[in-house]
Amino acid sequence: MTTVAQSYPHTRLGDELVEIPASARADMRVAARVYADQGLWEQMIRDRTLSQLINVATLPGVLDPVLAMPDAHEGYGFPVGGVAAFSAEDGIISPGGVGYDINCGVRLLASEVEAAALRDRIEPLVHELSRTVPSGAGRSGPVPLDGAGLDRVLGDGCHYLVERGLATDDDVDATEAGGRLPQADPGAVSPRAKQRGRPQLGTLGSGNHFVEVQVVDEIFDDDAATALGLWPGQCTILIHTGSRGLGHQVCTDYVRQMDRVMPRYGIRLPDRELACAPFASPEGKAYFGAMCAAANFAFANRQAVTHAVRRTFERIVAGRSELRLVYDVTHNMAKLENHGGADLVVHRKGATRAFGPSHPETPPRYRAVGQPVLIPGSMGTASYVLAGTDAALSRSYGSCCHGAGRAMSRRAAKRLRPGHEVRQELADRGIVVRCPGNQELAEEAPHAYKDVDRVVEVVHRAGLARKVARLVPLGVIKG
Amino acid sequence: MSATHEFLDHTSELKLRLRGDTFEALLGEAGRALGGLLLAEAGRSRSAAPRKFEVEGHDRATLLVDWLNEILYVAEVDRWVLTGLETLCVSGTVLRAHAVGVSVPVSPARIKAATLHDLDVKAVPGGILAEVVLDV
Repeated sequence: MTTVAQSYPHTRLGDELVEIPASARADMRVAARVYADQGLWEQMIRDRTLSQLINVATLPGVLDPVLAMPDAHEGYGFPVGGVAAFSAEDGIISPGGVGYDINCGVRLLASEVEAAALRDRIEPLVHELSRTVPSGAGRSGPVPLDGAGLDRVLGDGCHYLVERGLATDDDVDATEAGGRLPQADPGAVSPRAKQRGRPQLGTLGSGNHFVEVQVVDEIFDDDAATALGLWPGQCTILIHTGSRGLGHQVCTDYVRQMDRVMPRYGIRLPDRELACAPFASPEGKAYFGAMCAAANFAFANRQAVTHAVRRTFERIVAGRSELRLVYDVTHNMAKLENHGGADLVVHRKGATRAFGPSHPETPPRYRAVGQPVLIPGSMGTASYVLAGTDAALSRSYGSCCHGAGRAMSRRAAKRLRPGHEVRQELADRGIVVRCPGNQELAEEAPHAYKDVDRVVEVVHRAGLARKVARLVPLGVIKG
Repeated sequence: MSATHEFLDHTSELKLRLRGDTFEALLGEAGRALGGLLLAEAGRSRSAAPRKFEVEGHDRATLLVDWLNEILYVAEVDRWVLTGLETLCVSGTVLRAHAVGVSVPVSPARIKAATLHDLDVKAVPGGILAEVVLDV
């Protein structure tokens, strides 16, 4: 792994928070704050996480401070785990600040059965899920769309799938933003992006995307768990995917466009991948409309995968259980939100929204506890359910981490342990794995990621979200 | 014309370093390197007709990125993976190429895009050096 030790002036403000002052680099407009204990901080300074965060602090209209979550690591443009807010009036929007997998996100399905009662059916369940949910390289999806249908998905997200019988009103209510961003503009999505997306609705994709069969291992907050319908020993399913080739192409199109027009707005950047335009400009508005459309595609994609998972679960578990959607959260988005009376464009790149009980966008069913926050671990380690806090609004624009965060490159992970060993290790622990190949398994192995328990503990102690439940894997289908 | 490439470590993505004695050689190497990655992911392949490419950037660096993104787009949509180049020429910021390739049964999707992050194309003793980060 490339090791680039970064040293910037900084002050530790507490056990979980470090501040890099705006004076640390001459071009910074605002300070940077990093949620990390000492161990996680030392991991971050090994690669370029901090220099990328500081680059974000130079963008026009950025508000004080920019933030890194405890799972943050080097990415491109923004660091993964980066959060930054911009004035909607005179700030920018950056496609590179959202990333290529627009609205990559996670949703949790809760069954009504104990995992122990399914012990002899976990392997057939995982096997059937791997057959019914198209995963891996570019496999076509189970929901055929013509041009008009795709435009409906782009405009209406999960609401269109309710019409198609692939979603329920309850599903829509349990999805961030109701599974539809009203600012979506299908007309701002290029023909190329639509061509890539049309065959992909209901597909998992590659990389770190997965469907995981889990058991609720520990409850930390009884009242919150009851409100979320979670109980010890319960079988759950976690789904992680995004907007597929459609989102990749939207980002590619608009990074390219904004790279060209920045001189017109007098914008100079330390990294071209941060290409941006004023939010209020024609280019900014067009990207926002296209990004929201791609986000709606991603909401619908996770819903279509959910439909396939439900049918498979029903078949294997002999109709004994429904799979209720607990919540669906997004990771890579720029959202127009009101914070303290001001309209802000909040970029979360590899970060999760975590609104508290009193926020109007927290679904009514969760007003007593806060918005559910879903933190997947690495394959083979625990995942967490947390609840958003009102305090997070002032500390992190209502944001928290989105996962464990990579700790090493894919090449380093493969060098450390080959895929067949990872497969055997997971099997020895009773975890059923379906993965296209050993290479993908080695790249996404648990040792390639940070300690999710530690990451979640920082979020909990920092008050960004509070722990509700821990889930451990029984079976994994990797994309 | 000669060129080489190597993949460098990056915490979450893939970094491609390219060297060529000319910019055209470097672009050709970039195409073959990416095609190799895509073919490794797709596994099986069968012969397919050659195809023409025409890509326009607005400077050398964006031409490199746009070229790579064009190869990704064709691989995903047409399941056609570049394996070699018969000709490649650059005029200003326009690339024209005749490429040979193979048809693959599934669209490679592991590489999402070539990015502008840390994008660097510069003259070095003996030729041109470039680094580009691929989003994985």
